[in-house]
Amino acid sequence: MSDATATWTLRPDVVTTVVEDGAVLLDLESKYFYSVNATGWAVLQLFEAGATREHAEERCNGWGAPDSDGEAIARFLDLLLEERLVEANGAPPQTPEVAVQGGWAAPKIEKHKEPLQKIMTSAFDPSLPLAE
Amino acid sequence: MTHSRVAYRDSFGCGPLEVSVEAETPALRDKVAESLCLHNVEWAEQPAALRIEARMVDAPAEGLPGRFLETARMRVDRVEGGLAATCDSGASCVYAECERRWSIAVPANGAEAEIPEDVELLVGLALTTGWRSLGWAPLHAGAVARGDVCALLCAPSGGGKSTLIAALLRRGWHTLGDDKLLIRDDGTGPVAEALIHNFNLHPRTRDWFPEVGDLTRLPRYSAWTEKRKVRIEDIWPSATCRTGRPTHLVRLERGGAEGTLDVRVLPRSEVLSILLRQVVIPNDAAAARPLLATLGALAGRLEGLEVVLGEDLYGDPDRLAALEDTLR
Repeated sequence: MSDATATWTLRPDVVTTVVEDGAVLLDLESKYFYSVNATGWAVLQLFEAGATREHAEERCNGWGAPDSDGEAIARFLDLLLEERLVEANGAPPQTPEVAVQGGWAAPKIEKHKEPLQKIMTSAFDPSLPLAE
Repeated sequence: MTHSRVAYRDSFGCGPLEVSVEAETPALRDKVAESLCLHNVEWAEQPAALRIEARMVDAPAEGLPGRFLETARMRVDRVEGGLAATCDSGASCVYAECERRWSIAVPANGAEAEIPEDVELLVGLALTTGWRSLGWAPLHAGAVARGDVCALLCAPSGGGKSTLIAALLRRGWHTLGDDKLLIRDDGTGPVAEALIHNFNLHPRTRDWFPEVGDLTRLPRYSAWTEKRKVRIEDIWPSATCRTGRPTHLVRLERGGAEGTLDVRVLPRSEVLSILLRQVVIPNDAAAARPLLATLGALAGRLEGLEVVLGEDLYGDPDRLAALEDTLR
């Protein structure tokens, strides 16, 4: 996301769901999953529609981000890119109505240590197959 | 090679599905029925229809890449109009979504009686796909309930779920099953439903619970285990229940000192992580999204516990008191 004017969208095989204190993202390719806080989820919703980095930073300011959170915002956006949760495309940026639930807090993303299994025992049992 | 076209028909209730089976041979019908007839819990609502047709074919199917789902012996892919799957044995199936019909093809490798075990995998795929299409998340877990408490018990195979559940039944708990559940948000919150009211018990369970009797007189559950399949109500009458509102998630671990049971409260962040590891989530956004939503909603309602089970724990039933205290 070095180019602040490129439009970025959430990868199609990254699925999300809202939870009590933010959201959970599951990357179906890598099988890693991530937790984001409410602000992180608000930022991600911008990328669900398609947004530039510059636009996301502006929206954070609009949501009440103090200057001191600039680094945390940059780190969050960098991590989305490093983990390939977002990708560049040629689509025009969108301006969806998104609000931060519960007021502003620096966006956070946590990558859970162990990914889910890629190969399972059966269509019901997700555990690692036993060696035959 | 030609095969007769006589159809051997049967019908099975499998949770929210009524599965009709039409097979080309009695052996094929029996193999398909083996997996379906395990589901012995009556469903309260009108079940949805699903068809499974099974036939013998001359040649094994060519393997698919498994982009939708990959298991140890089966690979599944989206195809036009539904899904297709192939197994290591060459058995395969195609799902026509609009007709809710699965067509299983089994290569005729010599003797007709030699129906590959992989058919069980294909039937499992048909069931889990059918349940998901009705909004249910298939959960690989056991569950016990008493009063307002309903605890989901998670452990790998051989991790002690069945024995712990049996011990709790003797203390007045009820069970939804020891291995397979369905979960759905019914609009008022997540609800768990039972599918199978059998246990797979090791014969030595009798050492702690004499009422199970001599299990060695029963056939083995499979060639890979000493366990025997028993109907729960045959041993503990009135000990089963059909539904529950989950309140706790218990991760079982083996370890600790002999005769001990240690309970630790888990941080909330670990609950979803454990749940995600109990559900098969296909590599397909449309199939994965509702599962993730169900599990996310469920995780927000659950208190997480880790229970470490020591060896020879069940000699003294009062050792379960610590767990029961935490589950209040």
